[in-house]
Amino acid sequence: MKYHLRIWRQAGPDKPGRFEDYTVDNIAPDMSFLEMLDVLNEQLTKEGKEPVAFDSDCREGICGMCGLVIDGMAHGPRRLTTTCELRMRHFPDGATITVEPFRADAFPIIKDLCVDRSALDRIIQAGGYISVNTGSAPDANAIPVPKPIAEEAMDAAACIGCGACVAACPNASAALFTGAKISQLALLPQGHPERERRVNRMVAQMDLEGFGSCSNHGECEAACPKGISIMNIARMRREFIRAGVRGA
Amino acid sequence: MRMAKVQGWYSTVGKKVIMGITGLLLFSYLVIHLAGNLMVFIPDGGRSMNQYSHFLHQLGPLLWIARILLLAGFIFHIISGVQVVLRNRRARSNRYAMYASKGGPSRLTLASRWMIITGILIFIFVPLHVNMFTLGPYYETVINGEPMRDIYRLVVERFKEPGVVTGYALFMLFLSLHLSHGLWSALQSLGANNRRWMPVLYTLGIVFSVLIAGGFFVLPIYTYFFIPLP
Repeated sequence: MKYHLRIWRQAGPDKPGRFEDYTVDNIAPDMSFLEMLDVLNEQLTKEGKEPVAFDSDCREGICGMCGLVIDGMAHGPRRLTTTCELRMRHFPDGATITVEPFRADAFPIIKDLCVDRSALDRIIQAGGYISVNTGSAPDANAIPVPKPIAEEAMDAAACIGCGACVAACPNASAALFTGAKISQLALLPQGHPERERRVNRMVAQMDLEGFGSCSNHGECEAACPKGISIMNIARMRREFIRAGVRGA
Repeated sequence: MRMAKVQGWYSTVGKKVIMGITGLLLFSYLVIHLAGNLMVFIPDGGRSMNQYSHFLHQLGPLLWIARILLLAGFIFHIISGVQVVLRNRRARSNRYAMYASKGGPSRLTLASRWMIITGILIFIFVPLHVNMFTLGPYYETVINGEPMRDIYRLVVERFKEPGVVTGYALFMLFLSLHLSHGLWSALQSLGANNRRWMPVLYTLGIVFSVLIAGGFFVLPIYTYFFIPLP
């Protein structure tokens, strides 16, 4: 199969960027989107040109490293799919595909399609953890957790931190990411002692990083490769109001 | 690009809580306002409507408390809304060349994206509306031997002007769009939502936006065609 690509090229963080057009041929339908870009890069290298920089790691949809905006959608047109798991058979032969980096001022472009998402790490560092003394591991079932609650926490914990929620949000808000990271701990008894401090610090860090505000468009949930629900954003707000009322 | 440190009610989450509370306050006012306006449909030459209006004005300080509360809600809603929009624009200074919704659970609609535009239109409408009626000409009537303002006559008179009727109907479409996203969004912003309630709240939001704005929409049109000048 043959594709025409319109790819964002940018030499560095403060360099001007522009779209460049490329054509790739002999693409197998079962190739992933990233493998198709590998073919393009091989071609560019042979031509003595600079290959396109893009992020990837596990290439099996679990690490959260890859992420492109393909035809205006974070991770491309398929729902519940990371860019690395997106197959070329989902694009008609001869199609023109536009590829852009995740765009948000909180995600500065490093080069071409690579963006710096360490803002998300700093949100976690601000409070997305439980402080415990190290020692021997406690008994697995010493603290009973009802099954539905455990499942809800696991659903929130499915977040791989890829940043597609931010990329897809019209406001470049990180509310779904932050909401999921707060929820996975707020739902469990182990997360309760630090809950007020956690929500205040994580929300403050999220704002400090320059992410937008959530307007409840819900586009993040549609773009999330793990299908994380915006009900986690509602829970973040409940936690926030709870902390405010308690004067924490 | 780092922004100034903001916390508590000044944070993005806090601002949305303020928008949610003030939004619900303004919405509950709309419900009461519409209930009062529907008295236009009572075919008693405006007796009920004038008496209701007179009753409200008899409340004295209570009326002023309500007015001040509403004005405060209106102002806080607008300030927070504008701040949120300005922040959101700064959050993505380099726009996408191509942007599309992925559908599925997304609630991205024309209404949700146009909140600031429909909001500004309502902001323009409200002072014009207050100026036309509350601050409009003072007609007097006597009901049960008591002199009172004949607001009914003013309403019917105004709604006999085709320009006014068209303008009102148009603005109510904007209000409907604003409410269709605003209602469920207010509850979501206050955290009053969960997986089970989400579809119910979303549907109710749209139903109420149609009912409330629809009521205000039908009223001038009905008056124009069917209610005789007193």
